[in-house]
Amino acid sequence: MSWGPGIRAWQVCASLADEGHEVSLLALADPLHYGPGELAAEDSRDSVRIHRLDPGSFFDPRRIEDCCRSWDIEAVVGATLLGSFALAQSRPDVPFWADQFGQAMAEAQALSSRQGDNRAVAQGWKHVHPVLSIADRISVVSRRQRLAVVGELGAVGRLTGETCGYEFVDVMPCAVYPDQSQSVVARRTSRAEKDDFVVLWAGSYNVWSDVETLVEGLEVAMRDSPRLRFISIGGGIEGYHVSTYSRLRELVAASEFSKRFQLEGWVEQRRLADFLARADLGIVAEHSGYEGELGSKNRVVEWMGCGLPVLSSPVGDLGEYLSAGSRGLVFEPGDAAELARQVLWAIENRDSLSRIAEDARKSVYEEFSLERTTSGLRSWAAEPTRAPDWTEVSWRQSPMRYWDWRQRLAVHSQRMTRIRESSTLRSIWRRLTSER
Amino acid sequence: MSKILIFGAAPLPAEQQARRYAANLRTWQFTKALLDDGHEVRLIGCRLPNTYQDDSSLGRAAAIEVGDFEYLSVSGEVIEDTGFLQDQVEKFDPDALVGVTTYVASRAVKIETEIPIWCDLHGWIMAEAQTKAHVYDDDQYLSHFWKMEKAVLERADVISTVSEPQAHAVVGELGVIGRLTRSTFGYRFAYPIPTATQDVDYTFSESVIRSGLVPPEAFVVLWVGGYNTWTDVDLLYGALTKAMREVPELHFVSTGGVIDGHDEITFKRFQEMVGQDELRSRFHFVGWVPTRSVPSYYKESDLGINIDSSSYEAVFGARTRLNEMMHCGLPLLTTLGTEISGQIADLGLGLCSPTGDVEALAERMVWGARNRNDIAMLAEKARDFVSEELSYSKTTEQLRKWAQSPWRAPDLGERARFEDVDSSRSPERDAEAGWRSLWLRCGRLFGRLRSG
Repeated sequence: MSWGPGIRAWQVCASLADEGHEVSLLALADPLHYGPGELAAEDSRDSVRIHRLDPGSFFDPRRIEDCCRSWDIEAVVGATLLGSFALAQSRPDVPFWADQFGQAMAEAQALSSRQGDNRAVAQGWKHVHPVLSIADRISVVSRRQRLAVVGELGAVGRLTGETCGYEFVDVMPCAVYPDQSQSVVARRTSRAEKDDFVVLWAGSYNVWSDVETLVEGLEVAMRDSPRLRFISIGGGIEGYHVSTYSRLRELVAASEFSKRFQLEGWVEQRRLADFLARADLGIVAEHSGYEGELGSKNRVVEWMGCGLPVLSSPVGDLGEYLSAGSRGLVFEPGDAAELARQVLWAIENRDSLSRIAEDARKSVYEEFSLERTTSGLRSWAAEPTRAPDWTEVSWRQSPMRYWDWRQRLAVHSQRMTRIRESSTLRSIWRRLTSER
Repeated sequence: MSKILIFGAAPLPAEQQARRYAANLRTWQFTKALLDDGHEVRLIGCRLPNTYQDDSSLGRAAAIEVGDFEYLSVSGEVIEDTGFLQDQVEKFDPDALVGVTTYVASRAVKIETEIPIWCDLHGWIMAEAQTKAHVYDDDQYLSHFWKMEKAVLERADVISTVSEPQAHAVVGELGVIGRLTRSTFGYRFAYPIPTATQDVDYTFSESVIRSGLVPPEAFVVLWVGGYNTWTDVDLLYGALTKAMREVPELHFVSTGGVIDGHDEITFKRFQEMVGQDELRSRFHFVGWVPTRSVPSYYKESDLGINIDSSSYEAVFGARTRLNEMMHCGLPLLTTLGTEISGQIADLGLGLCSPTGDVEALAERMVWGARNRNDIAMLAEKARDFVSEELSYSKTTEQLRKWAQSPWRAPDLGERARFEDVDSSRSPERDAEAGWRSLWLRCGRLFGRLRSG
């Protein structure tokens, strides 16, 4: 099965390749998914050159610098925060688009709450700060996240007089891929009232996943409806977060309905379509928090594209899209009773459910097409530009540090184009304003 | 019921002093809502510059009666005196503190206390700082504004904002300063409290426009208040002169002007443009007028106007003048961008135009002048909207809930320390950080012992 960062990377690459750009993807290969010989390899797909790198090479700034130089790169795009961080480390001397796929600091908060300490928060900041400091343009996954990222930019000193009126942040929602979803749509058959009603979870059990509410709500519904079954494909994310999935397994094992919970674990991509075609309702249960409010869910967009009805929370842009337009069923985070009520309503109202799913499918093709979701990136890539405050990284001074004359002078001087574009003048100026 | 000490801005709207800023209205919005709920409320209001004709008789601090409510009006230097503020808290012994507006809230959080503090970030000051830095071509304002904002972000238990977009920006800032941690997961820090003008007296008192300032048949487009750093005066000038050429009876009346000490450029630039235009006789600058006269300007105008440039300030900010115009039943024309302008457009409460578009703005003005009955109907709808949706009690719902039993944020203001937690650090740096942390703790303990 694919997971978020990979899907996002492909959204970026496919859109740029669509526009006729020559695209090279440096992909961080997860050692858990590839054999020793496969980690560093080259491949090509839909005219995108893919260079898989092991983590050591991916986060090596010199490696990225070499690639940019030898391939004569005109612009760089970091897909997801890790990609953006790797690029920020390499201090690219071409225009730099950084993607922050979900609000990293809110995700770090969610992870830290699971881990019991704040190391994830500090680690998150280590990745976010260099990206915010030098990115020329930033993409995010929701309208709400855009506002939060502007808040971050203000706090790190990028909202200066020089950048006034410049739009740093572009909203790039999750996209639907008709060629992938159509095959599922074609295989989805109308189900009879007497058939089992299958509720599906497909994807990771991430830090935001609320398995307690999920199981409690399903148990309540199972008591009332003997035909209800739950199938889960996906699981923990090795090396990142596995305890939520372990907790799900414990809860299921202890459930009086354990036989009606089917946990398949991660399955191969080709089998995913089977599960999506056989399910009656896709479900997401999440904790209440800023991560959900500012983020999005690839899987929900994918399910809508496949014509699979969705039961999720009404939070964030996607939740608002679901609930405001009756494109899916919703329940508030943590409300197991409402989850159960919605599932039971779905079982009793299969025709209405199908109509909701069909409306959602039509709408999602329009609203979340690859072309529409990436329109900002496409326009930028046609003529990549720097942010108005661009300056060579070692030369950058935060306007927030404005305490003595040296810092004031440095901040002023970095706005002088002639100085900031000349390494010799920069060097002289730095010596003049240096504290030692 | 709780004992609540509010730090806000003076004078209160009912005092009808020389000038009334949004901060004064905001202070009363919070105070009145809490008084109406039966809390024991004490207000310390910091006198804003230029709001009194002469406040020398009030001295450093003076008790002022407004109806049956008494509050303490203090000068700017008093609000900077942390010892004084600390004293007030110790004397009143409140259950909670409320700081209204960013500057005053940034002073309130300096008080050493463990009681809950609600801080109102009245507009997103970092976006305001950006527009100021742009207008003045100087980034030095950023660190000054950030110091205020940061002080609030570090200590506040709950934060209110003027808009939902600003609440999201605050979440971004909280992440940057390290308050989105494991202990605050699932905790909501920020709530929007939109501007409300419910209890403000807008009674017509005298003829100010129709008694000779403009011809009797004039269609009056009104500007009220300061020309701030985000006011697009090029757009305003361009659209007005274009519309004036099409509509001979169109006149522009402007109250307000320069915002002393904050923006002394934007208004002067506008005046210069107008001064060189052949239509200048149809522009009427009456300057800052006494607060009690403002409703008369609303009453005698045909169309209120609000113009913003395209900037982040507009995305996050509020526009009190639009609330006032709706409250008074004055038809309005605004550029889009702010949250309130979005509501006006969506609900059909007034005329709207994109930012930076002279043609579109002029076209709306001309349409308004030729369809006076239609814009009057929009104004009626707008008046209903503010009275139903923007009442004090409705807008301050979360504050009122908190005041019933004020709570602290789960982290008690403790932040994640980015510099100390570094997954790539060496054992030597670990040890160094350990010693530093030990010394800091010892220092704090010693400080506490000394202060008793």
